[in-house]
Amino acid sequence: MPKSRRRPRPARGKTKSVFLNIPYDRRFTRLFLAYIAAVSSFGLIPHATLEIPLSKRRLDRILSLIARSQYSLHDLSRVQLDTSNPRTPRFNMPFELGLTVALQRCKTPRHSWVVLESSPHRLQKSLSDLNGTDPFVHSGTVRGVFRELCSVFVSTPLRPTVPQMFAVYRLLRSQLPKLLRSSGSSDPFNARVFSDLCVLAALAASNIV
Amino acid sequence: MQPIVATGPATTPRKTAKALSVSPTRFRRLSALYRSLIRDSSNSHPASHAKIKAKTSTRAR
Repeated sequence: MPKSRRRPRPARGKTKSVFLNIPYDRRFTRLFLAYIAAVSSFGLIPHATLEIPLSKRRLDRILSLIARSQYSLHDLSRVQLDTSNPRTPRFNMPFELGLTVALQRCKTPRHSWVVLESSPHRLQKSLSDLNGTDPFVHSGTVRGVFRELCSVFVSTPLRPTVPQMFAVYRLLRSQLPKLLRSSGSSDPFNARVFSDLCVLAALAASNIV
Repeated sequence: MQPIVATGPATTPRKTAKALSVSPTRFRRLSALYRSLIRDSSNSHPASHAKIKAKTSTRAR
C-alpha cells in the first residue's frame, strides 16, 4: 500500500520565551541588538526587565517574568565597578541569575538557564559559587554572541545561520536611530524601543531565516 | 554547560507583538516600516535584502 503523503504538521504548543538578563549600558548596545536579533532568529520571543511598568513592584514582576519564560540567558560580562560616583559593583545581573536558579530549583524545574561571559575564567573569580558551570564565552563581540547562541540552542523551531543572524542584526542597527527618534529617547534601553526592536527582528527573521 | 533543547513552534511577528504588548496600530506601523525597508533595499542596492534572503536560505539548505 503506498504511503500517503502528508504535509508536515506545524509543531504544537506554546511559543517559547527567553528572558534576557543583560546590562542596560550604552556600551552594550551592539550586544543588546545582537541578543534580540539572535533570539528572534531562533523563533523565540525575547523578554527583559525593560518591559516592567514602573507602577508594579519591580521584584515581583522580575520573578513573574522569569517564571513565565522557558529559558534565560544571563550575560555577566559587565559585572564590574560603575563609572559614576559612588563607584559600586553592578549587582542586578548576578542577583537575577540567583533568582532564576532558585526559581528553577524550587518552582519551575523545566526552566533552562545559561551564563554568558566575555572572557573564559572571569566567572570563576567573580562568582565562584557557579564553579562547575561553564559559561559560554562570546568575547564581547556580536559574532561571538551569534556563535555561542548557536551552541546554546539546539533543536530550535528555526535553525538560523550566523550570516542570517547578521542580516537581522544589521536591519535592527540601521533602524535604531529612527526608533529612538520616534520614542523620544536617547538610548535603546526602554520598554517602547525594546518591543519595537523585537517586533522588527521577528518580521526580519520570518523573512530571512 | 548543557545546551538548551528548545522544541515547539517558531514565533510569528504577530505573536511577538502580542507577547510584548505592542498595540495593533504600532504593529501595523512597524510592518509598514519593514516592508518599506525591503522595497527600498531591493530598489537601490544590488546586495538587496531579497538577495540576502535568497543567498542565506540556499546556504541553509
